[in-house]
Amino acid sequence: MREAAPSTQCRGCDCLLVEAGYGGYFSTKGNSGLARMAVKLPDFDQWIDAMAPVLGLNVTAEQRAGVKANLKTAAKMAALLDKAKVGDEIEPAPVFRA
Amino acid sequence: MKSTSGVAEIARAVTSMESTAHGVVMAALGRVEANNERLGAFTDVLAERAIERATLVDAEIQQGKRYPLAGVPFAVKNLFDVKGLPTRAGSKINRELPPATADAQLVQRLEAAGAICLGALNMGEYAYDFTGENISDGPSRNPHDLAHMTGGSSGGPASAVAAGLVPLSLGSDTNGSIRVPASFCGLFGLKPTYGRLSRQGTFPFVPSFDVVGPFARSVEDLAMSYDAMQGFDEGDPALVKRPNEPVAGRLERGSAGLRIAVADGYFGGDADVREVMDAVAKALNVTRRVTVPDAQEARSAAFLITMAEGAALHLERLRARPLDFDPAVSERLMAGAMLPAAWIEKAQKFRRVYQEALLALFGEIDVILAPATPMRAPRIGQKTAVFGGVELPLRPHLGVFTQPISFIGLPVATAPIWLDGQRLPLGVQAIAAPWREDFALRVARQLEKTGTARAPVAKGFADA
Repeated sequence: MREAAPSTQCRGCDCLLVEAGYGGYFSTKGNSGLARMAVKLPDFDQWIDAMAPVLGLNVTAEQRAGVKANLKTAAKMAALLDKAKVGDEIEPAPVFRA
Repeated sequence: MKSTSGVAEIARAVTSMESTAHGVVMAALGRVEANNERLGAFTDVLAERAIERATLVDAEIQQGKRYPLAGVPFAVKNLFDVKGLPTRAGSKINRELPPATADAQLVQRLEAAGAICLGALNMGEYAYDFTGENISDGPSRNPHDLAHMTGGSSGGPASAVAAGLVPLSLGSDTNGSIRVPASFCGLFGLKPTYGRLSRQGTFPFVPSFDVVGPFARSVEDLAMSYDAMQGFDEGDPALVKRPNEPVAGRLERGSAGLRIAVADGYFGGDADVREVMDAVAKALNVTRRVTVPDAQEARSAAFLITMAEGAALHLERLRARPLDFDPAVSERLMAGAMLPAAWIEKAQKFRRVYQEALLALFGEIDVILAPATPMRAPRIGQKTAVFGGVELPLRPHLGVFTQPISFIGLPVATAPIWLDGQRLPLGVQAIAAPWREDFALRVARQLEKTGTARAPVAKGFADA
């Protein structure tokens, strides 16, 4: 058994490759570009320190690792989604009807 | 009636007065009393209410009144309002709320059809869960092996039906919370089209994905309950005004005339999953394959919207009582509150594009088959599992095959597949275009007819 997705480490820097290493699940045609896609992940401590006061949240020392892990997952997913082609004219799914 | 008696059998027996609703309810209450401690299925049992209601149903039947679900005991995930109970939604915090003053709309509809509510069922905290574990109420347990997860978040509803405590339960499904437990506990489950069944009187999670639906041990039972619950309700702003489309009378058409394909690529899964899908394809005589485009992007978008909408729902509680959540839930929600709005808007725009692509696919195919879960039920407490040869965190990955589907509100019937020699089942999703629950259920019925899908009461819980 391998460690979680070591192949996703970008060579020579601290980037991560998005969602590669998931094996058969994601090696589909639509995702074939993934293995070459790198994401520069931000400093999650800075992120939490900036946002928690804005939201009025107190992130305790015990909670910090879990919040960071979830932000990391979200950042990877957002990076994947960022590559999706969505035209300016596309209406977001929830459309208010008066 | 026995633990193995289903919705249709009970309704027939009570209507013909071979049995009484009172007798059926007393037997069910006896099974709950005898088994619930080891299952962790019910969090609230309403014996007095159920007996009172059963007595009334019996009296009315004697006077000639007819009910489609006469005397059928059922129970609901504890995010449904049940009069007299605080709607805890699996949480420590919400159980301090005042008791609900009325039943949720679907509880009312089932009771109006002659069914009898026995109580409320365990669930993952605030429905943000795929395991069926609960830090406040303990885990719901898989009746087929009590050391294993039910799946979640509708864990109690699955446990109760798989153990034969009741023949019918209601759950909710945001990202897979009906389909994952149906897969792990070996049940038929229906996730209806988004906007089909009223969510009035249920505690939300992600309003743009949330749906409610039934679990049962046969497709007929599932369809009968679904038919009784259809209908417009102004109490749910997402409900679409359209005529009722009863499905129970269409089931015997089976898969005849339906264009069916097995999803490949993203939905391929490991060898064990592929074996199940091969058995399903063989039973249905399906050779066609289809690639669902951008499924991984869809899952990612669903994941992000879930984090953000869930966080917005709970922000005040996260500020005021952060330590009264399951830490795994509060940490996910706190992170969700911190996501950039532009990510979420992109996800919502992608949702539109993805929907258009899949609707185009449904121009050529009536039903897409895909596994419901990437594995059989894990052990309770298990934190990681091997997917595609890589060890990954278990909890988020249990929804890998369900999230891209509920993301655009498609109806899905989950059918439980038992392969020879396997101690635990694995579910298949029959996925149809919006409003075609009938297609999904017909395919599930075909699998049931061929014996490929079946939902027995778990050994050790079935009456002799």
